Amino acid sequence: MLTSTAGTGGKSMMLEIRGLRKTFFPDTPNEVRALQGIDLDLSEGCFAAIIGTNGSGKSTLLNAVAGSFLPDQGTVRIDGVEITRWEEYRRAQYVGRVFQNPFAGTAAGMTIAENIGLAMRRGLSRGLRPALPRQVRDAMADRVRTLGMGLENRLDNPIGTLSGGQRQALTLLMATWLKPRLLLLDEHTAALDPKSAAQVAALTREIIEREHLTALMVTHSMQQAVQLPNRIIMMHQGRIVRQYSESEMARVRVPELLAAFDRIRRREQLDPAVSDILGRQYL
Amino acid sequence: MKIETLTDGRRTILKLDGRLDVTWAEHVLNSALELLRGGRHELRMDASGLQYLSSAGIRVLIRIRREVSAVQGSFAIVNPSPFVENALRMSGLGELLECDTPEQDAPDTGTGDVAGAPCSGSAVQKGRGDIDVAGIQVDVHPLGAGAMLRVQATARWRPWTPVQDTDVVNLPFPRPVFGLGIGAAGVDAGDSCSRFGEFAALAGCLSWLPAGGGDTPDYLVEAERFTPSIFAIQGLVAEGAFSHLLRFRPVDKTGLLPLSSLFGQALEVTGADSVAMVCIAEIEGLVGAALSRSPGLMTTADSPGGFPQIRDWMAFCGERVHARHSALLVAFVSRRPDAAVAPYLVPLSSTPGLFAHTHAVVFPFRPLPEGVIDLEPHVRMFFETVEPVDLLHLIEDDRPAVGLGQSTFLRGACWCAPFSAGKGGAL
Amino acid sequence: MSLVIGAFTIGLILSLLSMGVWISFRVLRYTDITVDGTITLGASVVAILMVNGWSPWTSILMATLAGAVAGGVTGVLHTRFKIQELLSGILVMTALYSINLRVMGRSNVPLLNVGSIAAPVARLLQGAAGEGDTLMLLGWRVPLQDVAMLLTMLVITAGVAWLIKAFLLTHLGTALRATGENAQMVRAQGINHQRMQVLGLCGANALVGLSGALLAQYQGFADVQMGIGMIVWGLASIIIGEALVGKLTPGLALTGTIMGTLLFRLLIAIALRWGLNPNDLKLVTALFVFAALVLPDRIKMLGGMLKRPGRREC
Ligand SMILES: Nc1ncnc2c1ncn2[C@@H]1O[C@H](COP(=O)(O)OP(=O)(O)OP(=O)(O)O)[C@@H](O)[C@H]1O
Ligand SMILES: [Mg+2]
Repeated sequence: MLTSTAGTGGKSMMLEIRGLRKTFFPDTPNEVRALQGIDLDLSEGCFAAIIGTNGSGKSTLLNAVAGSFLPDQGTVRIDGVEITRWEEYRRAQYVGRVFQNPFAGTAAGMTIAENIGLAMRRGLSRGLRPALPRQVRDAMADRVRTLGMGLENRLDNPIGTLSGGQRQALTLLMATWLKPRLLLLDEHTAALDPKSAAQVAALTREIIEREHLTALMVTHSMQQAVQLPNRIIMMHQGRIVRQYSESEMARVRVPELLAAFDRIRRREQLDPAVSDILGRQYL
Repeated sequence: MKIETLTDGRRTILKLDGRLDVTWAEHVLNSALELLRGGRHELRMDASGLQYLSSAGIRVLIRIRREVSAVQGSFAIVNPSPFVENALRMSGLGELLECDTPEQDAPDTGTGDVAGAPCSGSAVQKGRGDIDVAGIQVDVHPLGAGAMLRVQATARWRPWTPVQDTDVVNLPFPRPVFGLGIGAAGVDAGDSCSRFGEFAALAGCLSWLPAGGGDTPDYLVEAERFTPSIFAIQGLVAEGAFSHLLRFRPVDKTGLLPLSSLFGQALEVTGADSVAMVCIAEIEGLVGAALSRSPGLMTTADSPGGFPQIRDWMAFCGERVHARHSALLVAFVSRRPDAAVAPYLVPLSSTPGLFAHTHAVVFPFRPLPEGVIDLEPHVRMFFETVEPVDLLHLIEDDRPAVGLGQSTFLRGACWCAPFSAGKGGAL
Repeated sequence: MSLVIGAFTIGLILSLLSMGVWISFRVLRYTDITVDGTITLGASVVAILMVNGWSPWTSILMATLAGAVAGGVTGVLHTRFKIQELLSGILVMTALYSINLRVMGRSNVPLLNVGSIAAPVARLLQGAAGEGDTLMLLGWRVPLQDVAMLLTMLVITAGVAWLIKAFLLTHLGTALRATGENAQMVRAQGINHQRMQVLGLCGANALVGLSGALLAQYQGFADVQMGIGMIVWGLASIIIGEALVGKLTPGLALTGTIMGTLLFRLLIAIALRWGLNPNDLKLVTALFVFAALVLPDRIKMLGGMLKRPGRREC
């Protein structure tokens, strides 16, 4: 009853975004056109990274998919279901999320087990049964053990006592505890020290591959962008300006991405005055 | 690791203290290359304080030797500790030790830096060398009296009209021919049409920037029976001999050579109204633009010349770029352009009355030997050892206040000759 | 001795209020000041129903429900109509003042000659201890009615506390707790955090309504002024409780809240006995809460200042 899966068979799109637009503070001097017509398709099992300059609208795009606000125009479909007007909490049945801030994804004062208990019923009804009966806790410990961080012995510690890296790893585990149709990662390693960041990045890749997840990851790390995903989406000023397909990913290296950014920057520099110079001096 | 640099006449001694291993290898290499860059071609490495030499360190020494010999300089290691000496001999690098290289006192390898010294026999136009450009020493070496180039506009598309099939010409660039224009190398004209971009060709090497393709230039180099060629929609092609070689270098820290001054020097030296040139130079800063979308894709509905549509068709450098890189330049300059080439030369805003068209292929820095050098081997060395990183059509940015000015260079070599414009058509 | 028994009985009754305040302030982290109105609402509903012949238990149930409704209104004002939390509480509290007057018809309703919820316990005690309406307790002779009331309140409060604790460990309960900790996370887990806020406020104010109902029964009257400052008393109790047992788990925090309330009532009873002017009571309480909120930080700062020069010496 929850889902009417698009019974198209064959290659259906897990995420379909059409003509998505969002303007903050419209018709004021502070107007920000954060999304200016985004079209994006992710097929099932596709892991795409979004890169782009600061303020290019990456987080806004992710938030629009997650439902933090409603877009001005356009549609969002997940697995064939149109969710454009759904409330954020309702989308959670399809979407797992990890945030940039390690504090954002967990309830600090509650124990690890309680946090995971919440994630175990993501998008499901929550009744008056005890959240953590014995057998659930055992299953929980088994899965937490796969993180290799020894957290299975600390299930009853408040999650706030963990390091940022540990919290982010747990948040990732929680977001994928029930297989989400779409996993959204917003710079989820950015706030970590290099070692933890690498650890969480490796874990991200491992989980996504093992569970064959469809994922959208915002990152500022070019290294991550060329190593982890099988697609890169480059954004600038609310638009997708370049995409690297799966076949291109085999050769894309960091310098090429940097050069592509450079070209985008140069494009900005070409103002009417320069246009005028080129009119006189270009053949 | 501590590196101390001592000067002993023409020689520069790098005194190393510490361990030359993988941590310090890059730093030592860069220090040596920095000296080469500064024109110090006689290097000695004092290894008395060198406690340890790893294979990463040995690789650096080999690399330094290669760079030094490319400029006909010399490099040797002096005062090695027994450990270092042993390590070198074991790895077959005994000849790097100074005691094994008999000292040659006469400065017959790697010509000295006395201006004009190599020009024995020909009339050195002394005095002309240190004129005009503040802080820059220009040495003039006549190559062949009366040498002349023949220049043709062999492909004649001009922006911004849609490209016709008849605009595309296949231009070969054998070794003696050089030129610049817009085109793309490919299987046939149709295949190239989506990738037309700036190109420059010299010394049997052809490089072009495929518009909308990658971000880096592609290139072709002449080999036994292979001659690079390109499907061009615009091309200025020169053939013939050079009359002069100009060598320029800064004499103080502020010395810079703007491109328009180089043009002025060439015109003055040759005494002609129109000069074609090729140049290898260390860049202080380039200002230019390049196609970002092939004109071959244009339809009658497009008007790439106007703002903001031009953003989709052209990329502007946005700042002075590629400092401390090397550039291969191909340029055509004229005070009174002949009708055959006039449409392809534009007025320089910095120098009223001068018209020019310049393309620059940018490479990672490589040093050049002093004095009179041959064009071909040095151009080829660039293509064979490093790869081009960019290709630009140079412009002068004369916007008030925010303008980037024109391209400037630090040191280099410029081969030039007067040209006469021939009738268009295939060569 | 009767002083102690009285203090404990009131303490137990107000523990329900403290637990309500604990749910809104600590669990939901919602500054809900509806409480001052809700406790009076509970008292007035119970008073008017009992005066009109309802049974004590049904009256208490109705009072509890009335409290829940009041909390729900505050929650809806905040979540649906986007009114600031503090303001939505103030609106409801203000409205409740008139509503309470309407419910009671005047500003004070005495509860004379009506049944008491302690009656069954009193009968039991009488059966056990034999004749008379007094009882020997630890060598003191105390009224049997008082002991019955104390025992009844003990059972109710302990039962309610246990229920709350059990609830907070269910799926719904953990969702409620997480709502106060991190609304963003809660939404990402598919929980409607606004619904959780409303639910939490309903629950909290239901407890407060219950507390008001029991208080009216114990005191024997309902008064429209009786709610003033109750929220501060609740906060004071929570702070004392946290100092006593900490707040690591919901169970501990709840126990602490009850103990804090009892201790606080005892302290007040002693102070009054020593001659504290009852009119100053609210000022003293406010000062106490102020000190409890501010002092810990000040002490830490002071400690830091004292330590620093010491370190430099060694
Ligand atoms: N809730 C909001 N209210 C107002 N403006 C917003 C809001 N969210 C984003 N913006 C604006 O929209 C633009 C895009 O922001 P966004 O956070 O999506 O960029 P980003 O690509 O994620 O950048 P960063 O790399 O810095 O995270 C910015 O100019 C930002 O100021
Ligand atoms: Mg962002």
